[in-house]
Amino acid sequence: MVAAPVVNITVNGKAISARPGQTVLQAAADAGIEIPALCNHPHLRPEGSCRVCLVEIEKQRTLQPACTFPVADGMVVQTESAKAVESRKMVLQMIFSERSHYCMYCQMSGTAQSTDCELQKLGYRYGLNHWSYGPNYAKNWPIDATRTHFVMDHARCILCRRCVRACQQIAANHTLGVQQRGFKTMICADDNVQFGESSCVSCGTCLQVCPTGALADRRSAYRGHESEVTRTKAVCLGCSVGCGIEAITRDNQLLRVEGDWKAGNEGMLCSVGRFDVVEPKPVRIMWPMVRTDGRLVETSWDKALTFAAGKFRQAHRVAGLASPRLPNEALAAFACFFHEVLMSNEVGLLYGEDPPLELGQPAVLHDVAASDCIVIIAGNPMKQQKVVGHLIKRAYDNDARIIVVNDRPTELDSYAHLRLQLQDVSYHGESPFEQLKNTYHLRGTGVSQLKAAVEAAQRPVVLYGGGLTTTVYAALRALPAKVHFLPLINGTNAAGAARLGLRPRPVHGEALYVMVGDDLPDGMVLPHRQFTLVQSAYRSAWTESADVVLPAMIWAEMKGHMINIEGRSLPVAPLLVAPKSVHACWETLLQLSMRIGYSLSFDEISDISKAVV
Amino acid sequence: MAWPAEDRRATAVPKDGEPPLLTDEMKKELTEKYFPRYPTRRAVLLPALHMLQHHHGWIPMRALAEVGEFLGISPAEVLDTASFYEEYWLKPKGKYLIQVCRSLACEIYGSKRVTEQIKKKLNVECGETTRDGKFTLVELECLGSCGTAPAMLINDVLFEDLTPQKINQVLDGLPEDAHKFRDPTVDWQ
Ligand code: SF4
Ligand code: SF4
Ligand code: SF4
Ligand code: FES
Repeated sequence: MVAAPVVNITVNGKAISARPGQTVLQAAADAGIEIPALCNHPHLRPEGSCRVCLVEIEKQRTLQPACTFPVADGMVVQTESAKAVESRKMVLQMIFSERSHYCMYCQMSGTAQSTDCELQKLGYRYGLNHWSYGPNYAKNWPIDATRTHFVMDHARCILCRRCVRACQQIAANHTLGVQQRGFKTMICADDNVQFGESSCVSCGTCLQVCPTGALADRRSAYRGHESEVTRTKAVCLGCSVGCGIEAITRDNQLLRVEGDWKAGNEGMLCSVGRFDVVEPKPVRIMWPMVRTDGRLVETSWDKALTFAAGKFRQAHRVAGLASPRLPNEALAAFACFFHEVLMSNEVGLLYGEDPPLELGQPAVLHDVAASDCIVIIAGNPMKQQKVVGHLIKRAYDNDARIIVVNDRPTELDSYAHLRLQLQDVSYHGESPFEQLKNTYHLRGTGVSQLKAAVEAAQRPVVLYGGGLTTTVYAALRALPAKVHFLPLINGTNAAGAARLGLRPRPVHGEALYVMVGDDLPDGMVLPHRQFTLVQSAYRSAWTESADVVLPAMIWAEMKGHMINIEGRSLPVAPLLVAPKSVHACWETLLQLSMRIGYSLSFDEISDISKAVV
Repeated sequence: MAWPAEDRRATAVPKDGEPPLLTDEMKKELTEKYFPRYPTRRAVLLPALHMLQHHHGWIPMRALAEVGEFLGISPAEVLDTASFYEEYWLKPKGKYLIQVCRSLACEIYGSKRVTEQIKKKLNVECGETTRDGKFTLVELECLGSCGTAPAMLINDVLFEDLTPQKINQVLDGLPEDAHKFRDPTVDWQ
């Protein structure tokens, strides 16, 4: 094995082995020496604009920014020398006095230990108890509150441009910019429109990287400092991408969601995963309800289950529909309940699409961002798998060729270097809600154009949606082996469901069991049956039409696994404790089977996990 | 939830039925003359802004969007660059641009009084343009004419040793058609 090349430097008297190409700041950080930094962010390209990280480097005429200065053999660095500290204090004073940092009203402000503001933290660290330049309290700095989920207060902005770089480099959305210069410099959106009217898609990446209180999350502001909240890594159940999240909770409440920098989504989330989950929800169902004299009346679990069991026993055939957002364990128990207890095959998914077939070498999310040729065939990732959409735009910024193959306009069309027409050979499918099903075909010339483009590339990735004909599949299978494939699956855990044999399909039976979890109807109507049991977290048009309603956990309370578009099994960890009277889906099914007179082949969630994962 | 807005970078800029400000001739010149000079398209932003300013006298927002679309740069980044340089005019500019020096030498010799006189006479504020679109008044740093302070420029013409009385004469003597206004010390042929 060849030893990795090493650059030997000394920081504050400590000998450090750095990697070539690292900056002084990175090398020091790896060795546990923290150099103060404001504009620098580990996941953004450094630009050295705030000058807080200036350090003394031997043989350099002036102080140098550690965040951009590359290490070199024999370098001797002092990060806290009198000269460096003096300059740092002056820089901090200037930053503080540039705008109105009226800290006591800021949601980030705290004590030296509890503050969440990176600027205030440095103020404490360097004992800044006054400043020589006088603050700018008098000026009316604008506040832009036109975005739904977060607010920008320019008074607290230090112009570090982290947000601008996040919007460009991570979200690849290019909404933010800086206008004017010097004292008049302002962060702005597009051609200087209000944020709410801009091309911002509310992915919140800028919010996540802002070091101060300039960008404030409407829901979590003032609800707890970092030191008072719990951070848990988990998976977003918003769609099939299964982005890694860090959930910020306190007192069994979800305050905020941030993107996990270490997961495949690399810190990014979409507005669904970051913001929609903390928006107000309909009334939570706490107890089972049975329709009595036309009204839903709360009752005990025992009464409701016994009543439902009786109805299911009487029914000639019972049908079941489950949400594709449920974890594998719930879906497996549901399928098992139908097959073993009710002896019925009439079980399927409530909505969604058949996931596309698996093809060739599977891609991981990073392959998309790093690809030099991306083919998007059927599907619409900018709508359905938004973070994948951002990864495609990021690749586009790095000069990847984008090929869109579809039968209708998609949001990615304006990025496409080549657009090929899919032919829609549709027929009316028999589905639970009589939706139109599409099957697509691609002409021979299209196939050869696709092949040529992919062959010319080094890291081609093909993203493919559902409904393709076997000839299209055959054409995709015939592509060179270097192609990586990523299925654009609709329905969060539709892939997990498919492995359990559950797919969206029409189900028949005079009794119906619908397990919706925390889904909401969004206009979708349940098929009418003689007896309907709905197990749902929230009251909705679905529960209003049911004969028996059972409570269900919400996504953040569930435990289990899901399978994402990369085909990986991701653990769904409970972030919150469910109310005492709400039980996991599989427990409900266990209880229900006992009342029907059968026992299921599991009695612990780990039994199901073992069987299905 | 619906995708609330889309990235406008690569989409067509609404033209509102008006002819484009970045004309086809300009695009042709940029393509033929400037694209070969630089490694990337976006590097042509400054020449493109120059061209627009030269043609229109200033650069309207719509023109910024058109340049962004043509070069594949987001509106925010175009504004970022355009607003960085004070020499790019993002507001309408009058036919006569009056630039009064406010550096130390001129200040000592009374540039304030000169500026005040212009403001009063033309009924205009610094950085603003008269209603008829004829004059724009700004202050700027050193014109390198400290020996003859206070000094000012009207378009390309330097005026020296100014007094409020002299201002009246100069302004009254400007021709109606700004194109006829030439530096008398230059041989125009
Ligand atoms: S809003 Fe925040 S991230 Fe953006 S420049 Fe201001 S302080 Fe930096
Ligand atoms: S929310 Fe996302 S798209 Fe909007 S400005 Fe921030 S980073 Fe850009
Ligand atoms: S892309 Fe999907 S998994 Fe990722 S944050 Fe959005 S909804 Fe959640
Ligand atoms: S952190 Fe280095 S200059 Fe800002």
